[in-house]
Amino acid sequence: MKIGLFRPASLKRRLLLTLLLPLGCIMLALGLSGAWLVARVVQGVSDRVLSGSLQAISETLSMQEGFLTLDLPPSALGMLENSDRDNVYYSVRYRGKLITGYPELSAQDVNLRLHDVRFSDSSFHGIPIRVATEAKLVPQLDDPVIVQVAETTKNRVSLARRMQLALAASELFLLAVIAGLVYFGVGWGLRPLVVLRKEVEARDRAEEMDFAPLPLAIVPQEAAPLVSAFNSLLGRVETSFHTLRRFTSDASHQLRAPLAVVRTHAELLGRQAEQSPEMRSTVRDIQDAVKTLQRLFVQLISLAKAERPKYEAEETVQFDLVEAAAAVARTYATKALSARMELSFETPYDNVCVLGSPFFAGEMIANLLDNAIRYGSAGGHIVVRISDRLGILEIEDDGPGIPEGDRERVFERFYRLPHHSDREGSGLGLSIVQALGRRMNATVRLETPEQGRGLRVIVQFVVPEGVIAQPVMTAIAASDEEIAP
Amino acid sequence: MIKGRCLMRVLIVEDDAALARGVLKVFRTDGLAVDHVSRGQDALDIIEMEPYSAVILDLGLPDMDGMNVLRQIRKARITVPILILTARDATVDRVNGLDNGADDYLAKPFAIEELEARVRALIRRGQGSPEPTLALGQISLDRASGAVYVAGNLLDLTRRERAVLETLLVRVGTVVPKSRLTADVFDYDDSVAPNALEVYIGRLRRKLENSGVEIITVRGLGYLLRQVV
Repeated sequence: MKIGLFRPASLKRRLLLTLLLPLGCIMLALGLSGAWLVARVVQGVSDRVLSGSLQAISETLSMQEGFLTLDLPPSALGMLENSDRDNVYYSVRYRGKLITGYPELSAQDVNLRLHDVRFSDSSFHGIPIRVATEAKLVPQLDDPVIVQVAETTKNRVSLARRMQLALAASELFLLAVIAGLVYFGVGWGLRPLVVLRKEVEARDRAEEMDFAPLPLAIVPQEAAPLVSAFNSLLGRVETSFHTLRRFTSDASHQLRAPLAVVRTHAELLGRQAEQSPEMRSTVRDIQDAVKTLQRLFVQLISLAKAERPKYEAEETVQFDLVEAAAAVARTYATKALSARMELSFETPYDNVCVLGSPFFAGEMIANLLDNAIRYGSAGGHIVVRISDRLGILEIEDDGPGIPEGDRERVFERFYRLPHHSDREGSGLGLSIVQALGRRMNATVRLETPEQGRGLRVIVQFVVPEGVIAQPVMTAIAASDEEIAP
Repeated sequence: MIKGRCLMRVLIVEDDAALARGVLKVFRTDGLAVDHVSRGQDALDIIEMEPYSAVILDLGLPDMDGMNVLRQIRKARITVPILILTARDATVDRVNGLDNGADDYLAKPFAIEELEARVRALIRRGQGSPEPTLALGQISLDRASGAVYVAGNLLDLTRRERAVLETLLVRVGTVVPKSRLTADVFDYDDSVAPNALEVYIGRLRRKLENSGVEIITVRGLGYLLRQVV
């Protein structure tokens, strides 16, 4: 779970996150204050209407013949008429005594100043109402007359709600537009990088290594430093690539010469030391060590060559796997015989066509046979087998085998099975086999033969297209014949 | 043919003095006369004057490329057998060398026996005659007369049995493919039964019992002649 959290997010996601989160907060704040403002404006407007109708009533207050009279013009309350059918209530009191109107409108203990309209929230039978109150001095009366007009708040609440909803909707719309712009904008902005990626991918697939710097012209300014850095890295890779190539050929050259000297002179010493058994064993030790050293270095060079990236387009040719395998097997048959083992070659075919390099294939088979002989023991059998035309070559032995758990690791350089430490070997053979195979797109697989002991190495070479197609073609031809008559 | 062994002169063109010393000693103990030069120009000068039986030419020389030396020798129409010695192992070099007129090729480091064997073969080839007698253990085959002896006693072999034995003897110690044996033993127009070769091998085996050599069948690959171990 944590890994998911720290996974490098996509640029789009990051930009959206950094942009939309604060933007959302701002929108929320704007929305809240907007909603508050809407409520206030609606309140103000509605209150003005309410106070208008209040004053229309209070204007008509007068004393006529000792009575407080009031004319309730229809227009006064008509102002308050609306679609939501708010109920309108009023009351007129003098010295706390209800003159006319609804008794439920209780006079608040507000400090009313004369001719000043006060607003307050109250409720009427449980329904919220807005009350406007005015204290009006009427001639001939000592105390002010309190006039109240109230309306239920349905209309103003629904008006405010509608405006707030519209505000929220427009904010959400804005947010969506920004998100969309970021999404497409980033995609558009990154388009040059896609071109760049395709360029790099094309090089990756190419047969030949191309170290030419990537063109800076096609990338946006922001990515230019990245591309420059990549180009300089490319330059360094090229240098080390050439160094490696030079090393493999130089090392090959430089190490061979002194080895040849040592080998020749050790041989001479051996011939001269024939009479002295002590000297003979010493010289034999030297000779064995030189042989081991030579083998190790030949294998290292071979591995370096096999693993180095393709530079020149390598020649992939059609070659005869039977012939290539038989030639190597003949060489190793004599070695197997010297080790008192038997090597045989089984195939029903005179030739089996595969794609790759016969030289690499030969080296692969040689390394596999060398392993089989090296780790086998007297009386052992080694079989090289090509049993179909599908490019599969098997090399099977009845030696110690490789435990299931080690089958991945044996392909690692210098990895040797613990119980093999008594045998001379470098632990490079299978690494070379795999690296050579990879160069030809051939795969190498290990399994235990049916008899339950030993090792079977299965190499799958690439087969020219026609080979697989052939059986299909004959099948079609056969069915054609059936239809023909 | 019997010119005396002292006339076999071999030239070693090699700039690695230590290696040259070793090779010189080995060939001298073999009874060959050996000269050594370390520069390509010296080699060209001396080859024109001295009739060598074989030349061992290292490709990495200080003054010029060995391949160039090779080309110039052949340009001067000197036909001495040349064995190329190189620290490079690329197949391209090998093919190049043979294309430019080399007779054989050996990569460093080599087993000294192999160098000896190849130089011996080159000298023989230069004299235009294959080895007159082939021998292994107690058996010997006189190529001129076709007689086969086991410990000095003439062995009675048919023509085809002899052909099988000769082919195996020439390639002693290596696995000889069936196809190669069949080609050497039967003519094109012979109608050969599929197991004909096995029949001859079987007969030959019986006749070679107790001769100290044996024919080993390498299943799927061919036959190999070797001394009984």
